Amino acid sequence: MLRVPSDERSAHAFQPRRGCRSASSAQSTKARSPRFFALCSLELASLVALLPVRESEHPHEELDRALDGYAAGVDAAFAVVHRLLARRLRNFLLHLSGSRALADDLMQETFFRIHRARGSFKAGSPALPWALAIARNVYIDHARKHRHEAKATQESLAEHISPAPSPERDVELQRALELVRRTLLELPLAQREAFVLLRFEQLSTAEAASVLGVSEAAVKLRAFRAAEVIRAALRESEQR
Amino acid sequence: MSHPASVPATSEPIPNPFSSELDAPVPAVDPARFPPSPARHRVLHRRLAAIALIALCELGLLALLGTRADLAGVPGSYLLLSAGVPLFAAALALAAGERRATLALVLLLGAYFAGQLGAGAIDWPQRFAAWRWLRCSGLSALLASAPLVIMVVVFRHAFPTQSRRRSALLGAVCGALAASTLRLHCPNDLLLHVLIAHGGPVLLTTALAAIVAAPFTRA
Repeated sequence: MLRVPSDERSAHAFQPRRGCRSASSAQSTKARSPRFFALCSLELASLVALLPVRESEHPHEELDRALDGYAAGVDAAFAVVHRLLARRLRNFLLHLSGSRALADDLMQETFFRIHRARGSFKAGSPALPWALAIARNVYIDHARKHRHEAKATQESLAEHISPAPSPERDVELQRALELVRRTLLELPLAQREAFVLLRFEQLSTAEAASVLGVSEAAVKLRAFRAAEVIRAALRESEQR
Repeated sequence: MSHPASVPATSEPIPNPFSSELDAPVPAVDPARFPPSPARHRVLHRRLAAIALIALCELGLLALLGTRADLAGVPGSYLLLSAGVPLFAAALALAAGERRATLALVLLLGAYFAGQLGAGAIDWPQRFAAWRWLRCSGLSALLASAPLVIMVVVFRHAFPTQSRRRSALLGAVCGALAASTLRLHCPNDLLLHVLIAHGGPVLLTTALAAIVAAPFTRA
């Protein structure tokens, strides 16, 4: 990838091109000078626009590149995509569903849909919000399909998800974690997913908004409301 | 993730109740079991081919219906307004479908109606019976149906978010294409006729696409 350091750009912008001067008179040279500068600037601007320069490493740059390659048809890039995405997708689905077994299944379905939609992944777009959005759709489709079973499933799988008791753990802490888990899973999906994306998945507000397809203000409001409900449940538990 | 020593106070971060499960092994995924899916360049070629096919469909239907008898006498500026504006708005909506869907939809519809208002400023003497309005609405729906089906096929599983809005945009694009094509066939330039009989189906295809096409276009 061609990199044009910023200090050289300004030098290039004001350097007239060599070999461009014709054999005409000084008058035409004077008339062309501003035009040469304009042409050089335009040329440089179009070159810079075509070849974006990344001056700092994006935290998900490897994932973006891998998914970009996979979308372009490099099947070998799937292994990298899986390595970088699988745990994040599984954990996101775990936070939404409350069941690790279900999260594993939904994660597999998510990768299938990523594979199916790879041709629509826009070049240069951030990969993580795109993949999380697909994971979210997978969860929503599952939840709609098993609407009546959802509540029973969450209750019956509470044993698998509850933190394993250990001597080091405070019993009160364990109760608090269980309370947070139950409250989180009882939240409306819109609030739950916003809260999970911002607090547990550590996404920025812009990324979370991109995943959910809503405005940043809406994401913040939903996450705030979710946090308030959970904190209210914790306060109520403390007061008992 | 480390576990806090005690129950968090209300101002402290809320602990993650699933923290003990986050590091559990992740099952492998075998991509060889997936059916083949097209890469980006193939998808782009398909979409370009679809646009060409849609143009052919519209021209074919127009050839069947016949162009308006007074086409030769219609000023170029009027043709540009009544046929070109919806086409431009359709292209804008298609290109903007990846981003600000709502803004593009407003621009599309606004440009279309503004174009028709401008066309309505020209006083054409021809008037038709009201029943022909239904004919125009029906023709508009017919002209929009094939493009809409083609669009849904090439944009299948393309939208991970806002699939309903983006599908509505596709519907608006198809409706606008139909309206543009119909302007070359229908000689009735009465403003109310154009707005209702030609513009109405644009809204109809927009709503239809939002409801019917969204499940297909969702990734």
